[in-house]
Amino acid sequence: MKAPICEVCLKTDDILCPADEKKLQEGVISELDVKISRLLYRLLGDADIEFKKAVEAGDLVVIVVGEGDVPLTIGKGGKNIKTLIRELGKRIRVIEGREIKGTDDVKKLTTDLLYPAGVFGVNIVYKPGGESYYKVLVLGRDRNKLPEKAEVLENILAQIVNRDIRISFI
Amino acid sequence: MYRTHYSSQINEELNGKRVKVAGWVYEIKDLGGIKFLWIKDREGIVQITAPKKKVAPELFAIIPKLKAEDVVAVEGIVSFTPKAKLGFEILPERIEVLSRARTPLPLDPAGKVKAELDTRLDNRFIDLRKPEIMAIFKIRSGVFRAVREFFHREGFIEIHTPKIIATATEGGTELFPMKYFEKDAFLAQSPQLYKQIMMASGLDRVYEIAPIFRAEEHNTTRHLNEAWSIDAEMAFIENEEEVMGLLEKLVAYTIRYVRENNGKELEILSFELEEPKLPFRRISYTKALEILADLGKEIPWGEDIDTEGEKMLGGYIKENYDEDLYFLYQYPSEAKPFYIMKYDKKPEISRSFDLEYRGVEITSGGQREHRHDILVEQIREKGLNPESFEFYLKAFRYGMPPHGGFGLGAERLIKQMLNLGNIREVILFPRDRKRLTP
Repeated sequence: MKAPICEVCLKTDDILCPADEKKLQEGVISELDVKISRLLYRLLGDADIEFKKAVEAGDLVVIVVGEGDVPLTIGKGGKNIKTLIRELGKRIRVIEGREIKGTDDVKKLTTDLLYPAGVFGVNIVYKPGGESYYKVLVLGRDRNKLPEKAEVLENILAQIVNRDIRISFI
Repeated sequence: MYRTHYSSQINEELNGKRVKVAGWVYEIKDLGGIKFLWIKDREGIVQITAPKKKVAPELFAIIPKLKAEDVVAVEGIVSFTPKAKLGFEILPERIEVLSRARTPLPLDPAGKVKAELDTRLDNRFIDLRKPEIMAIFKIRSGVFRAVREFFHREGFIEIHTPKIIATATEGGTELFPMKYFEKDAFLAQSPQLYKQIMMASGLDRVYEIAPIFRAEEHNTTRHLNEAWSIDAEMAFIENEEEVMGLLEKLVAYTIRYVRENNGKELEILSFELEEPKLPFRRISYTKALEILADLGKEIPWGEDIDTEGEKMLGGYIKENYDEDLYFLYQYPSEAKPFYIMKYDKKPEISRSFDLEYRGVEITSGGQREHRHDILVEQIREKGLNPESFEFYLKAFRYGMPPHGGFGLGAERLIKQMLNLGNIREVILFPRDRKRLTP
């Protein structure tokens, strides 16, 4: 299993090696990344999957994994997820991580994350002063189908994409 | 010229006279001793009749060699006769083939074989040879003519504002970024700030008809990435009602103009365009939410009325009042841009309105905030930096009269007027998420 921390740190439960500790201090990885890495390692062992990062907001934790790794991470009948929910006391969503090059990638990412609400489109909004953000359009009738409050999802998405994201209803 | 008359201009006064007609071959019929050729031009169809005994042998030989959509010019004598389908025919003296059409044709201009919209748009030049498609664009031309006529009658001055802009104008919009030499620039999404600046110039009443560009990535039947906007701004108004009054007169004038001048096109489209009653119904935002709640759709106060809600309201108004056009006004200030004036005594409500046509928004407008310091405050309230608006705010410091205006989407107006299903039907070469050519 590939994770943000090294194999040695995956296998232990206490302090991190100096290199990983440095990454944690510098904010390259988070406490949550460490925690989830170790939990997943316990559940999946040396399975051929990549855990990229985890982000949380409100009651929701989103686990970002490599391409095609979602089914293995979830486990048969969702057994891994059930364990994670028990351990973390939060709701879990596993999504496939992808490099964000443009709105198409954001659309795929949000389609995964906002399911069962449908994503109608993604635009870039330019603000005076040169800033910009992604605007994710969701049909008004899907408002109540969002898996979490829009603000929570916006927070999570911004952490994944490293850019402001706003959900807009049309 | 190869043409002296369009098909529609041939009348009984021309009986026995020589005319020149030109157009595309519509149909050919060969009955042995007599051959028929139908030519279509912009205004209709004309029949060329060639009896073997009356025309030169070389002419007689040309007709069967023609194919659908070849371009021909015919000179001949008009003959009004009850035998002819159209009431008259032309006996040819000269037939000239100006251009040959290759086969197979990319689509059937006779419309017998239906084509997908994409195929039609890829071959727009031939798509327009269908009378019902051409009718839409003749009506579009009528609409723009009516709009210009109306504005001039009302004392408006036509202006032209830049379409390359430096910064997001309205405080956060989907724009097309572009390189402007060594600087970053955008294509204009609205002339809003510039037409407002003109209110400080003394021009008083201005309008602009120009394209606007919106980088909205979603494909719908109501959105285009390049659309034509009819914008107006007027000074010395006392309230937003005066702007609504002007707008409803403009729309009613335009509809009347199309009814009076495009009767033939409406007939081709088999469409009965109803003349709207003035004044248009005015429904406050709060009242609209109440109606929607009664219809089973709850929208919390402050939120925008979504597409579904708009449609439901459109249906409700039609069913209860038999009206297609109505205003929604007094929107929450929060849902409107910074430049809209709020009610002084009820700042949560803005002096804004939308005009709806058959359940689709075709216009947004309102009274603008002309008081500099309040405007700056409103910019801040929207989380924007007033410094980014310096070029605009400057115009508010040296004498800015109260003013208001609107932006009317030309394609939406035409689409809704003709009750068409897709906005791409009313623009020659639509620009959408996928189409950049032709």
